[in-house]
Amino acid sequence: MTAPARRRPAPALRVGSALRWTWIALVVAVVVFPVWVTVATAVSPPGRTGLAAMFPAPGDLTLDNVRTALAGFPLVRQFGVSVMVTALQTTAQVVLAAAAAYALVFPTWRGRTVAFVLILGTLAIPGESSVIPNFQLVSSLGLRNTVLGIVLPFLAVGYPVFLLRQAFGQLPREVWEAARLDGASHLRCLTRVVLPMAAPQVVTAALWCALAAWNGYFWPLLITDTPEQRTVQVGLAQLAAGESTTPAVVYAGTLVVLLPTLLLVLVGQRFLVRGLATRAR
Amino acid sequence: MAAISYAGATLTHPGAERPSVDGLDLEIADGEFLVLVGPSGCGKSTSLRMLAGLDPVTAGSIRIGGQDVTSTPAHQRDVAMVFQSYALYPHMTVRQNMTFGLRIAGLAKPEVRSRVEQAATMLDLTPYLDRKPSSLSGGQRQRVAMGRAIVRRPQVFLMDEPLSNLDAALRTRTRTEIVRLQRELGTTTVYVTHDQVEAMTMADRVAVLADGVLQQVDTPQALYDRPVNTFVAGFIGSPAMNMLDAAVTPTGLQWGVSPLDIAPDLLAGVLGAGHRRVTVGVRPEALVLSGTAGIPAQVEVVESLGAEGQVLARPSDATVQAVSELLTVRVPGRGLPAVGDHVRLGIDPGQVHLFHHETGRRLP
Repeated sequence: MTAPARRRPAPALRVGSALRWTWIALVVAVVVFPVWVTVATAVSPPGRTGLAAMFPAPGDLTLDNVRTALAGFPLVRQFGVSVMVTALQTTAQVVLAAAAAYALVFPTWRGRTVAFVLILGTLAIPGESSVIPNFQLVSSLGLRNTVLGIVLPFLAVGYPVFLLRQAFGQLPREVWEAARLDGASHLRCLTRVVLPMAAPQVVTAALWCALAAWNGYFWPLLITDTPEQRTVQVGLAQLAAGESTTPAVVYAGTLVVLLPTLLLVLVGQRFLVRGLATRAR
Repeated sequence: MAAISYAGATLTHPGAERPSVDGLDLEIADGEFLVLVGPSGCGKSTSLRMLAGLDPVTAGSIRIGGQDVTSTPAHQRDVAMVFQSYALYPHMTVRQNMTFGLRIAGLAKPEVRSRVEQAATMLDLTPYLDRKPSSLSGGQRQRVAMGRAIVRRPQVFLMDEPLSNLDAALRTRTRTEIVRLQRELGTTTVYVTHDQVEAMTMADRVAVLADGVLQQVDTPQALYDRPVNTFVAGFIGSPAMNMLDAAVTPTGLQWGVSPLDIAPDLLAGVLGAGHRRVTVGVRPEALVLSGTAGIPAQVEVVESLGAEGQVLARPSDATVQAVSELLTVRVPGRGLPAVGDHVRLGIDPGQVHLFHHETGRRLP
């Protein structure tokens, strides 16, 4: 028995497919190129930059630039501060967003639509407008130059509330009702029924919060005074200023900052895509 | 186990023109199986959800076991509910679904295990205890939902169209199973359905609702034999009751050119009350095909069900008004007439129902 002949796609389809793949290749090149330049330059011999550093030979690979960056600046310490800030801020934002989204979706109470609109409204307020009040508040609490001071103004934000509200709204309400009739309190309904059912969206929200916390720059720069208390993003900017004549060292510092973000996206991309796709429905 | 009492229970949603449930007065005895039945949007599910505490009561009150639960939150009412969609926890196994409420109640582990095993045996679920709901069939999921309710041993079982997602054969089998279980456990049960066959076959008593208002509550047989109005008369019974708009004359009832046979005492009552027109209700089995006397009609549809058949005939007298236009006659399965045959439909005078021409209420 012979296999059925594969039908060739129509010419219009082939052209469309070729255009689509060209577009995807272009997008990938634009996204990947800066990352490649950063990584390749960082692991090239010191002083080698530009085209010469684009394709280092395996024998030339070295961590000298990374060592120089770490020796001259407290990047490791700042890395630790960034991890603490990210962990604290992400945990607080996800916990509060989940609780707020639950309250906006499941129990019925007068004014919950207004509350949601007000939360959405916070997304329209530019962050810069609240910098001075935040600075005064944190200073008055004696939290300047501390991790808590960096985190405090961002313990609750609107976007993950919106994300989780949309996710919870798509869960079957009857399951929540069944849990209530089983005697579950609101806290138990949230932790044992709602969150496990919305796990992909919760991970998406957590990733979004973590990336925002990790990449924070202006506020940590403003509220900290000593290099040891600064986040790695601020440290990187100071490294760029201090080592402007040796771009390879700056690239090495950038690599140190970039790695966790890249790892987070690579590990969580499945949830990120699924969560964002759910939100779009 | 507990008696239930609705006292003027009303739910009006904010901005709604009329209540979803309007002044419901209903007493349900301890251990009784009561079925709430009615067409879509009649308020039957809402009444059940008000009892569960899932929908508020905006006026009146509800008592369970003598205790006023009108303002009691759902999780403190000690009721278990089986939903139309089953509402199983999808991330938990069958065992976890069944133990969820028991663990919240703080029962000891041996007691939890014993109850789950007992319920699983009763419902034939033992082989599936460690499976997730997604790997079960519709019938199995339905049984898990039942099991989750049973293990709690609540005061009241509430069931909201639990069979509507099952195929016909499984529905009939599960119907019998639910009745058997309810008799065995003796738990007061309120069951919602739009299927009158379920209502008639399962209930101790049936409550018929329309537009949020309770029309009648009685045993299935009493509902069938003595419906209080044209709505109940038309809703209970399949095929539906034939409704004829007849004139009252001193000698009897007249439907167009055809006189209608009714019992003399019924006629005397109608004449005595001064009615000039009445709605006459005749069940399909109270009409007989006769060759000589009765309402002249022409056969339009013949449906054979094997042991019996249904004949739909159009009255030959164009001046008469039958609500359904065609009259339905239930006949034995053998010797059915042919489509197009001219027949006469005789009425069994002992099985005629009379209703008020305007209000639709039963006379007398």
